[in-house]
Amino acid sequence: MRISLGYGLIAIGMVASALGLVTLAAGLRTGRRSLLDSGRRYVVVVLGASIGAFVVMETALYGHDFSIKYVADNVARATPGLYTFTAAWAALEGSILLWVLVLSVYVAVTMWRFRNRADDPLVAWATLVQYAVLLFFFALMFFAANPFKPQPGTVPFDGAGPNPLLQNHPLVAIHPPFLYTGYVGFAIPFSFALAALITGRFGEGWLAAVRRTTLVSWGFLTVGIVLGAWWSYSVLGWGGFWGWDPVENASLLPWLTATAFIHSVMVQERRGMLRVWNLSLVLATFCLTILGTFLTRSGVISSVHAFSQSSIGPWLLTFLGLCAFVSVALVAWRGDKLRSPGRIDSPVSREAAFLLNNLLFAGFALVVLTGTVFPLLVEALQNKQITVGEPYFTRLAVPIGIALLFLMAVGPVLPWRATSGQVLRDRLLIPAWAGALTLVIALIAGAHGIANVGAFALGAFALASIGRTLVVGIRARRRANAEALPVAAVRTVWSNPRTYGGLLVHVGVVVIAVALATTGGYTTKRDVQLAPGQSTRVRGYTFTYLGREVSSSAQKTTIKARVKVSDGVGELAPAISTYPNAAEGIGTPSIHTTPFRDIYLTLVSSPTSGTVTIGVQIGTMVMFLWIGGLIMALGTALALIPARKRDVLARATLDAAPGDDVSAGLAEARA
Amino acid sequence: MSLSHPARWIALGVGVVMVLLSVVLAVSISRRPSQASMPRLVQQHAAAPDFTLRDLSTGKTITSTSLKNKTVVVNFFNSWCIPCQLEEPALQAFYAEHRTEPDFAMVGIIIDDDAPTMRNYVAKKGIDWPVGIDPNGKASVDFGTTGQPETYVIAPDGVAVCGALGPSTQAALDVWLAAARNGQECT
Amino acid sequence: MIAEVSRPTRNRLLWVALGLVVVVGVVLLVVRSGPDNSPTARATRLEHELACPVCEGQSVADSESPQSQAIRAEIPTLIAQGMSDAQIRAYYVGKYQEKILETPSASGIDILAWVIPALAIFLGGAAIAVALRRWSRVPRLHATADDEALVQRARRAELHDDTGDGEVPR
Repeated sequence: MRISLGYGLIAIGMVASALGLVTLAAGLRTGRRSLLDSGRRYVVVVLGASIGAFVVMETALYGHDFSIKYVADNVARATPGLYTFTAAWAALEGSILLWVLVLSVYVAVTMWRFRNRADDPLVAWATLVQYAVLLFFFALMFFAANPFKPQPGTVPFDGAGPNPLLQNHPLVAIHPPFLYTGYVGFAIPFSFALAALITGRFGEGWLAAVRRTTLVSWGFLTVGIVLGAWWSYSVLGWGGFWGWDPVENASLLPWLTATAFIHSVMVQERRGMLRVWNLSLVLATFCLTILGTFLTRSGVISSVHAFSQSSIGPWLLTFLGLCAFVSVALVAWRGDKLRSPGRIDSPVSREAAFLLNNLLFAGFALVVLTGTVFPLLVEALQNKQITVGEPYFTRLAVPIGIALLFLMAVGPVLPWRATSGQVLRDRLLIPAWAGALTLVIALIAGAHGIANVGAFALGAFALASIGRTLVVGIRARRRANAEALPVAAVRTVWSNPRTYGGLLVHVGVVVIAVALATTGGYTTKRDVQLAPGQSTRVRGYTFTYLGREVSSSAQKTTIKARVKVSDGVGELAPAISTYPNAAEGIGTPSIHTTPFRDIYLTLVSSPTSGTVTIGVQIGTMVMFLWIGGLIMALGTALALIPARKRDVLARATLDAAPGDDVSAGLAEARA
Repeated sequence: MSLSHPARWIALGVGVVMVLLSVVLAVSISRRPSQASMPRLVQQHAAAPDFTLRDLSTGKTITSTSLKNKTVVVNFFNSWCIPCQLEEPALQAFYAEHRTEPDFAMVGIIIDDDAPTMRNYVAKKGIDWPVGIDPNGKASVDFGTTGQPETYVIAPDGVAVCGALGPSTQAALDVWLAAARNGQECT
Repeated sequence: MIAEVSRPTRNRLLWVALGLVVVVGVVLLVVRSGPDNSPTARATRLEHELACPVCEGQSVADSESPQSQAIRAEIPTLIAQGMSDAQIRAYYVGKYQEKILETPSASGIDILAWVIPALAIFLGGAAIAVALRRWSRVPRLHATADDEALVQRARRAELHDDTGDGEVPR
């Protein structure tokens, strides 16, 4: 029964998307407002269908309905409740269901935001494109990847349970949803960019419409990526947090182009420039999202992340080709109309800094894309298998990162249009000295490694520059109104949340950059073999093997090695767990975390004959990676707060239909 | 300043690159099933490396030099890998058929498993050809193994002539043995 | 005496001093950060440059598979035998073929992996530089406060001008 219900809801969603698309197309062709209005209403059906299908899947999972193949493959009776819930996105078909659910919510919210502009062709075309994307994914499930496919043959008594890696840690409940809310959201700016190209309206209208959604998606994607790094470190047990795995790269690629867009869109807002480029960035971001979806689900790339091989590869590749073709064709077609009125006056200006920022981010994205796809290229051309791994990416990405750190220090203090060298030197004197002193201190403290020390010094430079901006803002406010310092500080930030939110995100990036330098350069890793009662010393800590402990549950059997660590760290217990549905055990590291020092133990060999091999890793300032991520999230939230004046102005112009009188709103904003 | 021509040309250039990329990706997904199933040594008809093992039951040394001038079948395996368990009856039958031949030798090499578990497994399955522990994993690195099971049939002159990645059948093993003895192709 | 020096001069002196500190610091840093060729450092570097032959996406340094442990045990022996880094890499390529190397080599088609991004960034930078130079050839005007106010008003109106052609829809 659930099978038919779930499959039926998917069919309803697919048909509703198709009907919405067709109705809107008819409405755009004929210009009839009634068609445009009714076309939009189908989103309610689509949203209902996707939510309904998801709910049906969850009830099937909890109800252990093993007549459904997906349930039989991904939950067992012994699976704990949380992992039964997360099994909904644990495998291929379920992940598409989640994709569709998140996209439906985004489309519905966007539809509601623009409810007063239903007859605007720009909005109508954007909605049409959104329906097209929804239609594709519903059709994908309906024809090629049905989550409600019946179990062939007899219904098994018990299911296989999730992949052990996916029932090891509660993070599986947060990391994928955050990622999906991130890159699925880029479909919305994509739809508006296509709409702008189709309608020929590439002034600032579509930008305003799209900026907030892009920032929201970007924020979720940032958190999703940081959570993935945290999972890699705390759960997978190889001691690192980023492996340049193709699936990790797939999530990073749209993030890089979206970051470039978030910056260069400011140039378009201020000066009306870089229109083609911004459009291309938005289009590229969504195309890269689909590329990532394709790479992880087509089986072309083997990875600890990749879903099992399936037949949906050709579907996704075709859709990717279609998106890319439409994007390129429209830009080529409209190329002669995309005339930007402005020009950049001086290489020493904020516009030029943003151009350089974009060059670096686009370059970074190209590095990641080349590295990820190159093995496929070589195999297709020469039938030879090669690996492109961490040394490639690090060698190319680190110089880009260093340059970006420098830009973060200098860019925000550059005025728009042009400046004299004197202004720049006055503004940057103290921050530059902060960087220089950090360089000196680092050298005295014995630091080595050009990139590492460079990160420290430039990070200090950037932080001091951001601090200076804040101080100058507070001082100006206190000169204008006599306020106490804390009050002035809060009000300064609150009056311009977009700027200070952005600066806070930069602070987070600097923290992460510094943490990357410390973890990369100052980590000690060693394997030690210990008999019970035996001790060893690594980097000042004494590790004593106390003995092993075995525990069993219906879900898994766990063998732990208890290790006592000196200096107040206490007892750590790295473990290996074996699950009934997998031959190999899954290791779980035991980590003692303090802000400046991480003690990380793994169980390398299963302790059977007494001696045990323990992997010891002592890392420096690992926690600052997660703290930096948190700061970036807070900064994004701050940047999303509408400033009062701007809010009114935005509302006055955003919701107005052409022909409305917005002078009242403008007057209010000016007040 | 006009943007018409540069934008168009750049867009078309990007389009060409994307077409190429799509072709590459399409080729990749179409060729997935045909993975190489012959080990590198066999593909290159290279000389098999020497190996020194410690016998699992007796603790004595097994060396490749002691097996010179024989046709040696080397099988990397362990107790937990499913294809290894699948091919084990075939190996048993194959060994039973040829064990009395004077120029025949068969050696099992343990990959990624510990001695006590392997002893249980060998005893349970009744495996009576020599099984060796590979100290420090040297043999597996020297052979260039990438998984298990892997089977190599080495001719008397030391060249690895036939073999497979993954489970073998008794029929295939017979063919390889004949090929190694007579200098034929292994199909 | 410091107080008598005017502010611009003081700042200029501070910038000069900063330049000196940075130059000296960077030189020291570069000297100190020369590649470490001790056997342990070489072994660690090589372990990061070789991919684990049986894992998905881990280097020999990071993986705990038996093959990786075997290779980690073997590399110091090879170093002690006097093999260079390139020879050790070639040794493992002989055993596992090219996919054992974590980075594409610098020969044949593999060099494209390095060339494509570097060339693209270089070309992009050159294009920006050319565009900036072309733009700055036109003499720059300086805006007065009245000009700025005029532009502000026009820009607010421009927010309604979606086509960017200067016409505000009625």
